[in-house]
Amino acid sequence: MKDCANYSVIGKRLPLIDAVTKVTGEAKFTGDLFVPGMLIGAILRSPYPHARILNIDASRALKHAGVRAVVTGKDTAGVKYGALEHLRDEAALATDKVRYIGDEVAAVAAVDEETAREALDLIDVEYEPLPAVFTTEEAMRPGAPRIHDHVENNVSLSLHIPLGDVEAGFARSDFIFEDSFETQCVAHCPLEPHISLAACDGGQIVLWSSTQGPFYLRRDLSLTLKLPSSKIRVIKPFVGGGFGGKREMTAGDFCAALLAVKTSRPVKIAYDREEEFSATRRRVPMKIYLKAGVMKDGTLVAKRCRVIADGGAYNGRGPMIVASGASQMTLVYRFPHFLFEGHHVYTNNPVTSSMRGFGNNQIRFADDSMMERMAKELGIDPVELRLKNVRRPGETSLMGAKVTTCGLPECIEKVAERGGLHKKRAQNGSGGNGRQALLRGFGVASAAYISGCKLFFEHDSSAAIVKLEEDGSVCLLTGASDIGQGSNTVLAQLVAEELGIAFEDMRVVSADTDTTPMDLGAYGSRTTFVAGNAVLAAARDAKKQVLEVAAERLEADSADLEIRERWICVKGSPQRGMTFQAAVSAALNSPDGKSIMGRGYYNPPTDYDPRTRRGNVSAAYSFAAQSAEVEVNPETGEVRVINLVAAQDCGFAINPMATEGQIEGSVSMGLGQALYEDLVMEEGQTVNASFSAYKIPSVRDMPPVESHLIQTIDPEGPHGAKGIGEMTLVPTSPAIANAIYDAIGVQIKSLPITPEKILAALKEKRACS
Amino acid sequence: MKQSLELTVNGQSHELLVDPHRTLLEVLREQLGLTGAKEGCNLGDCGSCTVLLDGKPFLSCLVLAVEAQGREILTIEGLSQNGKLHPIQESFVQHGAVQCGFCTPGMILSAKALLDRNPRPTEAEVKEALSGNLCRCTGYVKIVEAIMETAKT
Amino acid sequence: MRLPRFEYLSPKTLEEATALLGTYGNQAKILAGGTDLLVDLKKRSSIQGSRRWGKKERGPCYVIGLKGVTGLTRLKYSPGETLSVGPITSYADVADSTIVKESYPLLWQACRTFSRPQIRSAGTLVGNLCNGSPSADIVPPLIALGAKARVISARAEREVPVEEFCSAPFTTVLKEDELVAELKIPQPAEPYGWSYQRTTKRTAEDEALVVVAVLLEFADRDKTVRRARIALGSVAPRPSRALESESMTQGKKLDEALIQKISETVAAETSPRSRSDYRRLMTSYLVRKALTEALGN
Repeated sequence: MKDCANYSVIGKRLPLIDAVTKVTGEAKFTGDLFVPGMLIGAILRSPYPHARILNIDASRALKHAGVRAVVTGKDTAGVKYGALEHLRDEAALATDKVRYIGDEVAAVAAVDEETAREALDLIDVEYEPLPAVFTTEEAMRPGAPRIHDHVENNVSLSLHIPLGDVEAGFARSDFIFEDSFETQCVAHCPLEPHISLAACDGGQIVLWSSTQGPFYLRRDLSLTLKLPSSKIRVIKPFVGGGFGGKREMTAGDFCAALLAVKTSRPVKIAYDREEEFSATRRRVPMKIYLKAGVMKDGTLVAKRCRVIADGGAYNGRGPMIVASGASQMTLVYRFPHFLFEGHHVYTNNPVTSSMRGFGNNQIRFADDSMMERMAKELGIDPVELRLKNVRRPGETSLMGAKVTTCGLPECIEKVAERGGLHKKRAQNGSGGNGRQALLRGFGVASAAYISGCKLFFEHDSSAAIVKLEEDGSVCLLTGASDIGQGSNTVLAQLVAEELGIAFEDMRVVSADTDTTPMDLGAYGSRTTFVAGNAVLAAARDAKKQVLEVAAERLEADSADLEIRERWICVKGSPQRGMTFQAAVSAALNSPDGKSIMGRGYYNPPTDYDPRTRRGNVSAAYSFAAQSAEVEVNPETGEVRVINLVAAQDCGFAINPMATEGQIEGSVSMGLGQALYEDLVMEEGQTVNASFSAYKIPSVRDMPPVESHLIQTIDPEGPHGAKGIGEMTLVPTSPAIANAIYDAIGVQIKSLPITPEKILAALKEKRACS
Repeated sequence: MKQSLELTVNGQSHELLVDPHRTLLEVLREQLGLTGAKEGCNLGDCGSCTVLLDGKPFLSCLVLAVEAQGREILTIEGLSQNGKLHPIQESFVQHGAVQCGFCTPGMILSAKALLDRNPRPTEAEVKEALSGNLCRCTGYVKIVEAIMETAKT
Repeated sequence: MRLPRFEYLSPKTLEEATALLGTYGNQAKILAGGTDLLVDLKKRSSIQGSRRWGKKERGPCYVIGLKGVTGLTRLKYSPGETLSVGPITSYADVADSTIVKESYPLLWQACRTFSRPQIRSAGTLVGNLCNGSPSADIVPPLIALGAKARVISARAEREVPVEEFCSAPFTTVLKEDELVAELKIPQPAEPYGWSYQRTTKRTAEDEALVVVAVLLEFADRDKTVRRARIALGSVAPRPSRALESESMTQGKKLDEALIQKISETVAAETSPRSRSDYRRLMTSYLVRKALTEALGN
């Protein structure tokens, strides 16, 4: 293990590099950009869950004063886009049919927002309503209306992954547990809704967009606009949160670009909150049937898992999310026999796709709920049961994940210990002053996560350029997308550490497809790990160059030089040196005018077989455990989470303060998923499409959070770091669910856990006893 | 029909011609170029557009610009003086209370309204003061810490 | 999401305001704090809004803002008699008032815990009443206190007890040309006890699931109930009193058994539209809590 105390920039609790810009209100998000001559666009959405488009007549809209252009599905030429070619099923604007309420049909550009909205009412669309299906059961029934003509029974992807011999495993087991679980549909709710601004400039389309991956977005735009990617430049300004919801191209991106071309004017399209809730991507709700075989002593033998996912009207990333569930099932706990069956099903609901956790949350809710029941019924301590089966370093999972570092056992022990302390204290303090005493419960859950993966491309690469400036400052050019998680800060810390300079010397230019090198985007918890390694490579390249210059001046061998606190010197002889700035300046002000730029890229060494879906999808795996303590009012069913302890194996925390921020933010999101959040649908219509009806936790809902970082120093990670942003969310809702189970003695198998569900469960329990 | 009005924002007065259905948020952002107040929901639910009117927190998406006349309007742009951050801003920076930054201006102004009235609030009072400002990134933990810490100094 | 276009009228007196209402009728809307009206107008012009309310329906053509009316009362208290609340008096105005805190603790408690700080700065008590929402937080305490609304128009003036003000969800007795000029809240007779209970739909900052306001006027220090008002919000098409439950307290000293009996009775006095079983249960729970607390307050 490296001596962390020797680091001067990494491992430190530094403020975000752009924190000052953000607290002063200077930070420019896409909506804060106003380009001269800018038009405002708006999107016409389908009022039907399923209908054939017979005709679109925009003539009345075009005649409306102030309207400049209208685009419709015809302008897409039917080009479908998406990550994987064989799963592409969606055009940027609907062509033949609309498949959900909110599906994009047309867009207008006008002089202002009022005019644009008025013009939408003047576009005459003739629909032929078709029968629609809103549940996976209805959708899979023989003879159900087909949502996509080429897909039978509306099942867009079926997976069957047998590993070992699951039936033999069950036969050998002492006990069999079987249950069904259900997770709900939740919304990402970034505070900044989706927004796009496009302008034509010098033969290029320039698009500013609230995106998690400008290079991905450029690829989809290039595909749908039928333009070479060099004709498109995507710039990511400040982004107000994404959580997976800003990974894919939106109709707004496409329409802004196309309307800008048509009008030769800049066009801005902002989704309002209602559109954000009812017509953008959301989490994939799953029905999970789980069967587990276990020995008397708690050793897991076999698991069978069947997942039915409501994919909504189009694939999005849904099929990959189902597949990701299989990996997750086999990564956290060990067992030799597994059968996974997954179905991604089309319905006439809005599209479900990527969201922080990518399928893992759903699976872990089911799996860790079942572990809890197993522990209770076998009479084994739930923590011990987990520790008995927990993943250990150096193992390979059934799905082929090669686990190098793994701190999951320590994470579980830590949350059990700390959570247990709280528990004891709480019990001492609790009195019976109510009519019925409040019920307290304690629950634990685990998670594992990738650090980037190669599911979508042949590579999972990121590249970086490190420019050394004459004044001794350093500018990092990275395509990695800071969407608020603080990646610019972490990447700058890595560069500053490598170059021996101060954090204040760093500047970061992040995410512009023309001026920064390639990166696939913020997803798969890949940025710290993949982009981190890329910027390290670039920093090392720059360091080599600057040391060569210094070596010449100092008449030393560059291999003998080091940089510390902006001072380049011979190791062991600090007086034989020069400033970092002097060396950079000397290089430039020499006869060859050398401008030092380091370049580097990183592509994780992984091997994934898309046919078997097995392999080592990631070059490192992170782990986490959380414990929750709750108080349940048996009279009202109300739940209060009293405290939450989180322990994460993040490899190495480059910025512990930012890492804690990820954990704390996850806890609030996980709390929402456990207790409050649920997109309510009526015949395909999102009923609660506002923050007043769809409640995310506010400050007063938050429990105290205690974070522990377990540092395992991964050999492949930048200074040992692994990904963390998504995993932190995964165990929160199962931990809370398990705590409620502990408190009331009945397990609630569907999310969110509402007071009504608790009261019903308690009533049933009373009836049984 | 546009109406002429005078708005006092961050101590400066502005004469403007404004449609009466324009909200203060729209006028601040689109006519005065003060984009620190954000449009997160435009229905008064998220608090990203919070500004102070005569020291009290208001949702600028639910205030007609014509009705903001004659009041002292403070936006996030008016908080730091001569390039020096306000102590609440400084504390947000130091305590990691900022992630994406979209809710931050509103959060800070809600905190300012509280601390100006109640310089030594309890944690419960801080939470109450922030209850109208949603954040999806931070889980609020470091935001509350940052404000409690400001109140100590 | 933008407001629809409208003409903004800024009368200088309430007489001017009623004259404008008389002229424009249902084409005009009174704007006080804006926290309900502006949200409603924005929703109407939104995409789903146009679906929900039908494309043709537009917002009002005229918005009559009361902010410019000179000399409007915020709060006026005649000791031992009434508190007068003006048409643009905000929750924050009430929450900041020590007089209200001391003399109308029930109202004060409701106002200071109402919604969120930003809404308290802008929102008005009269607006909350006029919006006619079944879940209006401030109406049950007003009913419990026996408040009356002074309603004026260019034609006439009348007083309406707050408990009769709402007639159906989002519908009030207010005619097109009328506005509420004042709320008159009588001072409860000492000795009395009170309680304000509220639970939300889900999160802490959510809309009310159930609101309970209780005012018990005692005959003596012995706490024999002389008159009780139990007002409920969010459990019926309009905020209302639980009359049968109230009558059970008449001339009684409340003990645990009676409180329990009342809390069972009160559930039957509700008619919630959604989550009805749970709302009934919570009504019982909160009424029990409120009566117990009112005995101590």
